[in-house]
Amino acid sequence: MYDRADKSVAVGLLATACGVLAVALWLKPAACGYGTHTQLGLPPCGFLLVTHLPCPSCGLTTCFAYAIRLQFWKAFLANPFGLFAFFGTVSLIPSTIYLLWRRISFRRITEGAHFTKAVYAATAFYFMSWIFKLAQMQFASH
Amino acid sequence: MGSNTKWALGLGIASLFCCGPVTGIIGVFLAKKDMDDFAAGRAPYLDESMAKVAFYLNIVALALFVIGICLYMGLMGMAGLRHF
Repeated sequence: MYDRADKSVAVGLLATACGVLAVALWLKPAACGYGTHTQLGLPPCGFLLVTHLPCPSCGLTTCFAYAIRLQFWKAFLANPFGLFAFFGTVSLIPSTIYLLWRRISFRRITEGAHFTKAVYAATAFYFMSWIFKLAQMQFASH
Repeated sequence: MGSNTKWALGLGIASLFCCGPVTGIIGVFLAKKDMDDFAAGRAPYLDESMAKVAFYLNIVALALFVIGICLYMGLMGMAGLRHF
């Protein structure tokens, strides 16, 4: 049964995806590959400040800022997972419009067994992307 | 304890210490899935209390992240006002 809550979820996701992409377009990507989010008045990464190592999320905003300018290689170097998340965000726009049009509940997708597997795969990729960033930083320091 | 709950606990701890909101959101999703499966009777073998612990751990991690950002922005705002 498609209800108002389902519609709200779809509209919320659509608005979030559009908002994220608009902010990414507005931001200027940081040349060092991380720290673009500080342009929004947000604090620098605490993990990076303490350990001098990037956290798994370091470079996500920079990646989005590069990817929206179609500089996909730079985006990949900033954060490989970020590029995957960027395409996910872009694909969310037509997907949510389709869900709204066909009155399909988002829960029908999230309750499927494949969605949980996809979440696990995305989590694994997120941490693999971190290893890539750590190796990249180690390589750059030598 | 279901594998979703185990992962949600790990992701919640990771969210608290280094990963911020990304793993927190995934952790909330996984823990909620186990809680819903238990409540609907689809998986009675699951440990509901542990799933709840994982769920609230991730919520706390996300809340702390938001509070940290608000505090930082508030402090920066106050410093900016003092500058004037």
